[in-house]
Amino acid sequence: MTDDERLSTLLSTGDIDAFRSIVDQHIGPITSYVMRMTNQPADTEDLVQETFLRLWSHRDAYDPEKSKLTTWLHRIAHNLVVDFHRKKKPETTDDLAEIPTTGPDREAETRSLEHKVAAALSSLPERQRSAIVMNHYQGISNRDTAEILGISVEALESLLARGRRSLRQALMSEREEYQA
Amino acid sequence: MNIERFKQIIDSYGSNESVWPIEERDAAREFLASSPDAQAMLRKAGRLDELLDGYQPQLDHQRRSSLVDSIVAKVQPGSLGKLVEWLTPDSDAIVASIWRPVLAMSTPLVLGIAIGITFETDDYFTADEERYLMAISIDTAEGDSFYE
Repeated sequence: MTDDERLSTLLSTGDIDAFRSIVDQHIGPITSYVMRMTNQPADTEDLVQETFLRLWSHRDAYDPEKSKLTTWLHRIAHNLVVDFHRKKKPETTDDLAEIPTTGPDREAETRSLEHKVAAALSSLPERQRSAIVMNHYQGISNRDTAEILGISVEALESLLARGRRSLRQALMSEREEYQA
Repeated sequence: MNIERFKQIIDSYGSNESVWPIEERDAAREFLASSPDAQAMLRKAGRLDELLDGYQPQLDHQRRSSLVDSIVAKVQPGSLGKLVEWLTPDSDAIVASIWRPVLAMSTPLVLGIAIGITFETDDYFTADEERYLMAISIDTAEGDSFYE
């Protein structure tokens, strides 16, 4: 029995300890996903919370034989993020400045790079951004990412390629590209 | 694997082999080892990946812990919820299938007892008092018929 199967069996019985283990284990990746997708720290916490509450309320619907728990959670988070973007006003560059980093002592250069990457990601169309964040940052397989986005693997590759091309243009100078 | 497909893989998935399509990963690795053009493509993609990896947002430890606690607290039942949970177990389908009908059928009985206890009064008669009252009522009844 896999860890997902064991925890989901316990979860289906309403086991709070199993739920806590799942939250503890997955809150990092889900937070990173939502943060990269929204760039809004306060909203990120709400969306992360709602992701796990939906897992709890729909715990009987999860089948560990059909998908990994992390894929299931990313699917919930993705749907919430899509709804969030639908309702939310467009982001401003001021919002991007609030992105928390790992500690207060980060170098200004690192902050600047993070800001640039965050801004470049934000400038991508939502589906390209989702595809890149899931595949590149979250390490979700191409099939699972395609399934979450409801597209074919070929369509996913097209989204990823267009997204990476835009990011390269936004982040790398001509000289850097030439050197690379 | 050929250079066109390798380029598609690199353009889409970047330089991190762990996210390349699993069914083509080994072939792409072999091709990479033998092709200088493929190696150049990988280096170029790696530079972008390096920049992207510079962005690692995460919650600090304290915020993370408090978020976990607040999520778990939201699903924990209150006192009434715990009572209901105890009365209606869902952990064991067999237990629940027996227990729930029994609970449903006994609810009127429990309610009846509860109402009886709530409206209980001290206005009752002893056996002697009841006999006395019955005697009076018989006399009265006979008297009534006599005068008719």
